[in-house]
Amino acid sequence: MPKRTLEATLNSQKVLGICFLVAPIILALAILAYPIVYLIRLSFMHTVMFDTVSFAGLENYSRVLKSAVFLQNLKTTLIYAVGSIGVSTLIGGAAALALHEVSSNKLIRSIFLMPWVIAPVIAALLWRWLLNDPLGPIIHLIRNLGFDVGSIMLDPLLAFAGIIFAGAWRSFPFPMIFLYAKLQTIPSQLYESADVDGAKWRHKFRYISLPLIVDVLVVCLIMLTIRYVNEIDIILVMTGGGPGRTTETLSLSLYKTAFQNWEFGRSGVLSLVLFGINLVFAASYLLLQHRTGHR
Amino acid sequence: MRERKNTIAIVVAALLLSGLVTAGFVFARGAEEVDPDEVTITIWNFLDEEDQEDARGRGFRAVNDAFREKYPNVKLETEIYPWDRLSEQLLLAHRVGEGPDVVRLTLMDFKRHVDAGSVRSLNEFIEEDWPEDAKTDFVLPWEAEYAGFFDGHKYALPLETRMVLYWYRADAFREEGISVPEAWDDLAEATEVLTGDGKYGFAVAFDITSWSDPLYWFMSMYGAFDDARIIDEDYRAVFNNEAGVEIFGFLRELVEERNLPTSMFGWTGYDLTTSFAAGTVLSSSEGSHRVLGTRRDLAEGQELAVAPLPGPHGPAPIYAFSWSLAIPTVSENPEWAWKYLDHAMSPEIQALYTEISGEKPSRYSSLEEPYFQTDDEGLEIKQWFEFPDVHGTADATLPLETPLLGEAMTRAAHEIVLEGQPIEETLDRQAEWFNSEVGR
Repeated sequence: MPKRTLEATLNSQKVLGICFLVAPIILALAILAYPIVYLIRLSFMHTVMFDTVSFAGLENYSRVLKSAVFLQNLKTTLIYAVGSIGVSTLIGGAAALALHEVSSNKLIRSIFLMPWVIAPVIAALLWRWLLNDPLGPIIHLIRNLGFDVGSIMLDPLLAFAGIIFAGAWRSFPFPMIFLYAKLQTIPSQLYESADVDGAKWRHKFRYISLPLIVDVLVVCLIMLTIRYVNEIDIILVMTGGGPGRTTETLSLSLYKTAFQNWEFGRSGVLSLVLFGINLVFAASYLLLQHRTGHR
Repeated sequence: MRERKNTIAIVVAALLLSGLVTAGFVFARGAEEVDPDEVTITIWNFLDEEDQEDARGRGFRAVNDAFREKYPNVKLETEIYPWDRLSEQLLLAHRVGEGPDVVRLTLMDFKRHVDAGSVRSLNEFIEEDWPEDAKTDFVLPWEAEYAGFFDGHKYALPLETRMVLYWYRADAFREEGISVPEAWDDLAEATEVLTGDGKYGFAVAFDITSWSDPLYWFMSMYGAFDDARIIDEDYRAVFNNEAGVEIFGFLRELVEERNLPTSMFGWTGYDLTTSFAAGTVLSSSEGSHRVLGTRRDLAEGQELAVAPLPGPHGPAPIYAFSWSLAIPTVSENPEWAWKYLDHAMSPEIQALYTEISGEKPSRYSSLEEPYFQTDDEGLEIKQWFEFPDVHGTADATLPLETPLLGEAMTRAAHEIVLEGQPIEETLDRQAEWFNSEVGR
């Protein structure tokens, strides 16, 4: 076998490929790996403001994980994430089907997309005002209809429902547009064949549409999970975590620990916990997708 | 063919001509002489000098315009941040070595900034430009930490003095034949009589996000009890004391026995002021800085008057504090920044600011200005300065982590009033949570 010259080696596709990859790898390490490593380091340190002052060992972890508030916030986070993902996916899915089946009018599509383009803080302020007691129109309407209800945002259950609905209202266009795009790619012949076989709407959805949109649905679920687990804007503006502590999630607690209490050590621990939750959710979706054979 | 050539020639000529004109403008602008003495001063504030709807925005504008007139070579630029984000923004700016020349800060921010080295000592300027007796001219004690004094250095100067007061609709009280409440019993009765038909006899903004409003009310209330403190000398929360049990018990009484709707537990300070201006709230705990602005928003026939907050057995001591001006370490023009501070602290500018914004001045000497001698509003504001002398002042000590403290106490109010949880246990739990969060 002839010995390869240096020139030939340098000219090979493999080396060229590696050369092209060096820059993005360095960039990725700089903007992804470094912050994660720094975060892990931070979680083991005592900090004063922005400076790390001494090694804390597992003290930050112990303080965070042993706290009763942490468990309560974790539970709130999971309920909020699951509730919001469920509601926004249902509304988004229904809107996608409506656009696909009934009308794909550009104006209607644009109207449906409007909540997505509104800044989260503005959306939160809007919903806060809508649900305000007694200035908001919703409570006004309910009371004018003769129902003697208290303040929506002061009832733990209703406040929770309020932030879930506001979050879902803001996010539903995201799954909607993804699912609508995927639905558009399904060949119409499949539905026509089903029609010939006498399939009803629900059969066509169950056996044609759903299996073919599952891969996109999983991507949507992963993206929405990351969004809701890390959500701060809606909750901070609408309830601030109240009434009491009933709507305080881990991400809100992280924000307060970092930017009200300036404790970056403990906020590092909370960030890693949130990172872990996101990973677990994402892995579960992918596993589910794998097991059901939709790859 | 010939026509096409002509068209092309005209288009090319037009392009050349427009290019020449544009270049002429560019060169002409470039040739403008830059004044070597021109300085730019950047001010960070939560007030917007362009917002002419807001009385305090107009006041800020008037102070700035007077400075611009005095120093035409100085260009004043203002950047606006939400009031509760100013401190955070300054810390971040300091970290990267950039930032404003002047910043507006309040009492709980000072120590953090002094520790971080993000604000500079004003001693050298004060010693050079001000007489010694200027220090006793300020309403807030010169050497108090909450007035920006640490280890012999003054880091901030109070731009205004604000007091937490009892706002009431004098016309509504007159109509019902109720005298101005001085003690809790009077307040409870007035609340019961005035509440109903969509009206709230009394309100404090108790939303979790609005932690400062309830905290300021609590400061006054705890101050009414002998030796009852919210924070001890080690900055540990000690609000879970006997006074706390009575104060939170009174809150519960207002809701459970005096029919006060719970809506106020979801209100921010903005909601409260808006509701007062809309005529649905008939008395409240609010800052003196908003009185004149709100009064101007009231409908005809509605009268907003103020008094000390009703305490357990009589008028509560006055909780007074200020928003101050400081010079960040990163300021590139500290001398000019000082000139701005000096300007804003001068008695005539303080009087001008009060007249437009409604915020009270920070110096006694400004009360000698004509506005406080002849104008009805000026004379009324001057009277407010007597409240602390008559009723005493509440302890103004607050920890670095004031937002967390405010949140803990507001959350306690939610749990006690809305969820019906036992008072003592709830206060113990929230005080313990605060101390654990801050590691004390």
